[in-house]
Amino acid sequence: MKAQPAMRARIGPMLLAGQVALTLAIVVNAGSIASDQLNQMLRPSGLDEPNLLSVHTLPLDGSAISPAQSNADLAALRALPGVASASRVNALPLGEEGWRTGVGAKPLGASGPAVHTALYYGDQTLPPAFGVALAEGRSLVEADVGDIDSTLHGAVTTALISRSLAAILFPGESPIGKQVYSRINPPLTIVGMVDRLQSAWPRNDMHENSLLIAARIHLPEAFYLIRTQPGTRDNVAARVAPTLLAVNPSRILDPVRSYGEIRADGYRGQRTVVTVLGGLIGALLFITALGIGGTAAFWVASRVQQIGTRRALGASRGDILQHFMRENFLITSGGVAIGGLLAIGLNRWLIAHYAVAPLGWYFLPAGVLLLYALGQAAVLGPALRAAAVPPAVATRGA
Amino acid sequence: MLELDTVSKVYRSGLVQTHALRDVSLRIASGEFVAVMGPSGSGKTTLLNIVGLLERFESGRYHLDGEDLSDLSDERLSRLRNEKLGFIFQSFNLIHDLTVFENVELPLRYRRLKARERHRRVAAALEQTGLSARTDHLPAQLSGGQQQRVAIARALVGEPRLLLADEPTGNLDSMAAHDVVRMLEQINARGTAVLMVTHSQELAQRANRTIYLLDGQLTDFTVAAKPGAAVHAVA
Amino acid sequence: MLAHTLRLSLRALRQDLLRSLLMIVALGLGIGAAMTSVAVFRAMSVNPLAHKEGRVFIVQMDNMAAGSPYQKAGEPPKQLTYRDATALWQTHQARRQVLLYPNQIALEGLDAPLSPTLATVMFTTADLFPMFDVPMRYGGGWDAATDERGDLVVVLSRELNERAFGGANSVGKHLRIGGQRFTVIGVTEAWHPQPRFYDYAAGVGAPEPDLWLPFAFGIAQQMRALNNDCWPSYAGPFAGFQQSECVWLNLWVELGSPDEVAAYRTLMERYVADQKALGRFPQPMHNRLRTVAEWLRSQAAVSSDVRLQTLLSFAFLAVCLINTAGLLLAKFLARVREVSVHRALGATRNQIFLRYLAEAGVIGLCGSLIGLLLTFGGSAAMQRLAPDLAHARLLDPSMIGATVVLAIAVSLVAGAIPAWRVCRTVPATFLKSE
Repeated sequence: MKAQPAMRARIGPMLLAGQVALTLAIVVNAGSIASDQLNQMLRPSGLDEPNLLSVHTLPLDGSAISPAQSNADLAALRALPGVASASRVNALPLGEEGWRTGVGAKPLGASGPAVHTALYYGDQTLPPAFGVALAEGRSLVEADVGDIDSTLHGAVTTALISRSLAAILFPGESPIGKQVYSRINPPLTIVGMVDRLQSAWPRNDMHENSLLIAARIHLPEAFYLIRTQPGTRDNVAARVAPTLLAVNPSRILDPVRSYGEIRADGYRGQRTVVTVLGGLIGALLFITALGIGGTAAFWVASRVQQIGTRRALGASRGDILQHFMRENFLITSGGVAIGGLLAIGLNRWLIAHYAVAPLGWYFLPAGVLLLYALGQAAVLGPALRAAAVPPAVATRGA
Repeated sequence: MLELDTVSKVYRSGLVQTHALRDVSLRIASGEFVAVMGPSGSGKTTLLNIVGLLERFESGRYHLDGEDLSDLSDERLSRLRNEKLGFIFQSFNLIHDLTVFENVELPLRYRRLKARERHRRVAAALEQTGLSARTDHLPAQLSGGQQQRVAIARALVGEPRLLLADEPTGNLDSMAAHDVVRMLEQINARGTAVLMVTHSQELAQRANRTIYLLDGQLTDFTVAAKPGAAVHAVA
Repeated sequence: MLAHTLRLSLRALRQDLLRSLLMIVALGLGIGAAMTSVAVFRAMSVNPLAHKEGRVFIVQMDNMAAGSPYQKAGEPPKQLTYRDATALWQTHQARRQVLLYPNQIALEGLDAPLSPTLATVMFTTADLFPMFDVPMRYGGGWDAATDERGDLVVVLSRELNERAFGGANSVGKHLRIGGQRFTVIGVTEAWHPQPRFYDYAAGVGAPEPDLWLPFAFGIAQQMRALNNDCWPSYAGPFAGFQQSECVWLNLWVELGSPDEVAAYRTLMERYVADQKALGRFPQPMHNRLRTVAEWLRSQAAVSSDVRLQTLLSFAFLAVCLINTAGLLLAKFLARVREVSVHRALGATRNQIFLRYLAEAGVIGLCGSLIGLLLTFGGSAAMQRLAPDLAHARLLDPSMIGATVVLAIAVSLVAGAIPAWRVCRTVPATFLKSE
């Protein structure tokens, strides 16, 4: 079949095809990055987030929050109506500050590779306060709980492990009963595995490795976790500060935060990226639709005489419409072919320089379909106007 | 073959009504060569457009080969134009980014013929008009006379029953004009009816008969030379 | 001639108003996106102490264990150990020197109605205020004698002063900090250097310091830094911590001339050599005496996210450029008959080219206005999304100028091919009646 006139080397269609190509390359990659960040933001932390509150406190005189003090605080909190459980923890998942170290399934030498993991210390009330789901073994009991000081030294023996850490340290076998070694603590016996418990650092690649070590902590500050009955969270939140101040007024008390707020703060970076890229994609598609529709409108307007002649020769309105839709389809196809290669090339470059994830297989076809749909929709208006050109134009002029 | 019966065409623009044609009746038999003359604004182009199915009319009847064309869809009208009619315009109306071959081929594309059949017919039409050497040229590379010949080939390629010519020699020098008219006569001799709008008395004399329009109405009929009569030399 | 051309261009635009507006908006979008990302990039990479570049330096030495570099091989840690920082300090071999580390401390109001809270504090020495040119609203910093005596004085940030004392002159008033009674001797102006070069640990959204306290007090209270790096890990009391290989302090020095800089480098080398002889500093000597600009560069102050967004914004601008070029081409070609008439009347190809190029430029100029509006809005949005930009001044006169220049440049590039294409049309082709 002889080449259609639109395919002859003309600058106009080439520019349009180039625009489509570049748009495809950018939209596909930006969409992939945004989707990746969005997936990060949607990851469950393993906690019962809708019902979870956290409050941070420390004494005014710089002393530590003693076990007696924290017991009194927790008793008062547990007594509040609507509270299902409360516990003390050293750091908050997604809280952006916390404790970590390297661990291994065998004793670690003075140096050498170890698996990075987040450390949570708490007594037997901590797992129910977190709301984590137990996958294997048992939760912590009072007998497990040791004591550690502010430098993390002390007699600890027992811990819960997160599934992802267990998969790394003990691939293919059950972690229950096994020992985990670190340079900080004595060897810990694993008595239970939780499905998921995220670390304090949402961006880190070890974010799902956690150990929940049975210990009472003697730290200058305390994070209290309060798990409420469904629906009572906001009521409880209002009463936390007065309750704790009643127990001991001479303390620094940060505002109570729900896990919704903690999560929002923790993922602020990702949210920025998603917003910016989303805006970019929208603007890009808008500009390309504008370009396609705008140039099509110009081309139709400049070819009115020609359209009239074709109609005189027997072209129906449908023939004219098809002619312009097909012209756009060919231009888009040319653009998409180049754009596909560009998209893959851009992705490779981004992987090398910006540690971006490789394109999921469905992004490119989705992008291609999107651009075809966009192009055809943009050209429909001008094409309909072309089809409406009356045949009499052939004799009377435009 | 073709019959118009008291056809009227009115243009409305706001509150102003213009009667382009008033109660025009016309009959053209197969193979006739009819010329249409009249001053500017007399409705010649409107008549041509209506006969050529390029415009619709307000009242009256139009029968073509026995078919009543009053209420047909745009789709059907386009088909009829394609199959039964051929057009030649004063300003050629070739499509400037198609080659000579592609221009002539155009009506056949709308007829959805197979490529080989199209090829055959186009080649024949180009042969008839003496343009076989220029199949791949673009209109911009041709003289006015050659362009009009391309238009004639294009009009012929579909084997129409009626050829409509709108001032076919208006933009041509006298030599080219002579060639074009000779071609029209040859086509007519082979059995295709021709309806030609013209200003030129000399051209009109080449037709079987001339009809005159004034203010949208036919004035008088004059039967000129009999079919086959000698052609007057053009000055 | 130029004025005439511009007038014709404006008229042509007005005649085709809707399409021209669309072109202007499309171009403006691209400009706005690109310039917003440039503004953010600049804010994160500008040197806040540019006027003292080459005089203020941060001291870095590599005390890490053999085979265990801090982060990257060949790069020393960001902080110094207590031993090393104070040892260099004792030499007093710089015009000014500052010890610095951040923490948090309990703050209660005494002369101010302030509920107990945890304040962010920078422990530092007297020279900080003159060295970093910290602007003061009330009062001033303290002096070396105060450091030596260990007086309990505090400099407040302007924001804290607003909260605690309603913004009034609080010099002489008292606050209870860390359980002790402190006297306010100064209040800074709103000082938010962007990036926060002096606080190596400040991440995105980290709070600005509320209090500036004497270094000696922090040490006396046995307060470590917010971010300590100990390798091997250290778990003992503070006294041992001060002697350990844990890195947690910064030392900044101000030097007056290249000779003094060279001398200080020599001092550092000699010190490290001495320490090696004592069995410390097993790593090769990785001394660094970096200016603020070099320090920021080594910290990769502009995150890869921002780089990526800048890149994508400019790719977007490229698409807008091609878009404008395509629309201009279609628009110019539609007027080719008019061009042919001009040429028939004697206009040269160049004149036609410039005439149409000017029209593209006018679109660029109008597009720059939209671009400026969008840059304004975009910067405001970015400041809301990214709190560490909150105090940066993103749009200044040079940015505005750059926006206009960029818009016109892009439109001229976009219009060059269409203008060239239209001036090369053969007049005869289009003057023949078709």
